[in-house]
Amino acid sequence: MSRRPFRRFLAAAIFLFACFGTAFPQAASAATPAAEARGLAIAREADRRDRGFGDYAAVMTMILTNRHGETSKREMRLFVLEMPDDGDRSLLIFDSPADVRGTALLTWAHRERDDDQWLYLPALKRVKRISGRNRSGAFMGSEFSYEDIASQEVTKYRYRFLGEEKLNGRTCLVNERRPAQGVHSGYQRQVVWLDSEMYQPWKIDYYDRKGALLKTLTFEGYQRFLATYWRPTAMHMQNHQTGKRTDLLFRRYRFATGLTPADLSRNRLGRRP
Amino acid sequence: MRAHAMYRRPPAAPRFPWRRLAPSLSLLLSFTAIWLACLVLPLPPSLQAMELTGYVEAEGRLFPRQPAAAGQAHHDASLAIQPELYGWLANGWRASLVFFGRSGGPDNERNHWDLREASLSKAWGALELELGVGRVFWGATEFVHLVDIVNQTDLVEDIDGDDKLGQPLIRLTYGRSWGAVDLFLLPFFRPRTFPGANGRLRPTFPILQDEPDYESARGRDHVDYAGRLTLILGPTDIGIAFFAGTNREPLLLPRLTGQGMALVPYYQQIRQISIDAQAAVGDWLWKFEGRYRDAAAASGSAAVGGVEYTLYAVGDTAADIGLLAEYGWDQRRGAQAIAQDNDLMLGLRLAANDTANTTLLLGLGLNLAGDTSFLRLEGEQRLGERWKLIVEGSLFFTHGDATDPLASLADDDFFRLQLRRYF
Repeated sequence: MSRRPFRRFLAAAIFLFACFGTAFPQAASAATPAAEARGLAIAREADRRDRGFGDYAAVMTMILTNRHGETSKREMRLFVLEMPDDGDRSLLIFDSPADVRGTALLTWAHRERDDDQWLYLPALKRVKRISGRNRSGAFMGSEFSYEDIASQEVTKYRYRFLGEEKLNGRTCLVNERRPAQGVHSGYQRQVVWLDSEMYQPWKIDYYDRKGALLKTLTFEGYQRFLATYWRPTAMHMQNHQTGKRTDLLFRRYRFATGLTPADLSRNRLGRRP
Repeated sequence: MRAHAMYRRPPAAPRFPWRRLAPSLSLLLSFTAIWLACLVLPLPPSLQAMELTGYVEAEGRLFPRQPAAAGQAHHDASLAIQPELYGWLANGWRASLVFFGRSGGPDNERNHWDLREASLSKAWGALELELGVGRVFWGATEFVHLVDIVNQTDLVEDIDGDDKLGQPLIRLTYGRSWGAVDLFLLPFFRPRTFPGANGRLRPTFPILQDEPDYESARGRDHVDYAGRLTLILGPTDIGIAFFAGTNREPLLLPRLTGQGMALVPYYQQIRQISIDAQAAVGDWLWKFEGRYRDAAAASGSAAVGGVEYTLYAVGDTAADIGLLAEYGWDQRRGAQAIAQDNDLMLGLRLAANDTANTTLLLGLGLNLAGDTSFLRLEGEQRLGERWKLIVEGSLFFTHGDATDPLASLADDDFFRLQLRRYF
């Protein structure tokens, strides 16, 4: 029996935070065809605009705050590689807390099927397959689920355009997204406020399976890289039902780092880049 | 553990006195090799980044049952340390150094140290070379490790076989999106660690681990080799491997000594082919390990397979519950009977997904062919940012006159508590 058998918490999908812009989900049960078509078009446009970034790396700090205001911190490094004909490959390496240091999560996102995922446990030098379907589970004990930070492939949602709205002085396209047929999701629907110029989200409301407002994610401090690609410097997730929140801070974005598919392969897990 | 003397005893290996004088010779040689490599490569001036991490640990173990042998204790306490040093060199080499040591317990065999890792590695595109002392894990299943053979088990640390001794190796890897090919040259053999005469969790008779016998005349200097092909086929990982060399798992042969009966580890030469697979399909994880071994004594095949089903975010909480079932089967002939020869293992895994990363695993093993079973509980929780508490308990049950090896642990139910401070 394994001594450190668990770490299930790490279990599942990853990122492409960037690609939040990518897919703006939505669709609705009783939507008009025009609103659905517009919603899908917006999602595709956001996806199109983020293509061609190649690869990037970033350092992330995650701050968990419970309802009493007590906080705890996690540090990790993110590496993302765009694949020409498939979803992106990403690698997340944990630097803290100290007991999970070196733990790594490798994700190969796919457009047409469940993502491939591997978890590397440094104490045992063991690579475990992880179910790419675990999308609703909490990521590292945070308010983010794996679904929230997973690569947002356009095909995984149905869309419905709800209208335009001003948010913090910016004109936003408000788009609703619901999980596509056969796609697992912890949510009934999400509503995304997408900047009408940048095509990046400022806010996402998450509704639980019963239709009640569960969480709100807000984005902050977009920076542009390679004159094209927008990335946030902070994401704030507030859980309305538990009062807990998680802040995700990004720094040291680097593009065109020279990552190769070999760097993001199963057998390289544990060789921290 | 059951040991047989049914096979023809091999001629004794020629012994050089210096080999006894320097039991860690292989480690010293590896060290030398690494430092020679460092001299050849422009190492110190090009050191780009270095990090020192690791932990110190206080451990207490409690054995509620009366020991079978005089001199064995009801409880023990010890301290352990594992510093880890990683460095990246400007010329693309990666260096790692991991040391483990335990001290302060009553069993002098368990008070030990080991160089878990001391290696240099470098990648050239899809090709990667590692040389030095390293650790490698092969396998998929939870309760039994049938195919994992590169590293020797550090059995004094725990009976679950997850703790490994550093193995001197040269490893060449070629990796692509479809998987990887690994080739290993394993120039020195590390004998298994066993508890001493006054240690718990040992067979009825003490083991003379400092006087092992080898089938090969070269003893622990026999050069082993291994290879592995890893394939990624959609949601499935498959590993096909071979190994030729000194078996990590010794036969334990009875010998009459001045102090009475004792067991001598005998390391055979084997050839092994194995396959292991894991697949993630929906909420199910499928796992399989199988192998065939060819040896002068105790050839045979063994397999274990099972599933793990995970219920995510149970009852509106963040917690996941995993249900595990594995069935293991072993038909090694003759001398090398082991605990898992026809076993059903059931497990319940709880991951709270909380900030303390609380996890719990409950395992039940039933030997369907013999008369033994075991119950095992493992739990861990982070305390604050740098501390961690690990609890573990194992209960062994025997019915009637059980003859399988686990029966010798019947008096060694134990509970263990480890408190770690990471730095």
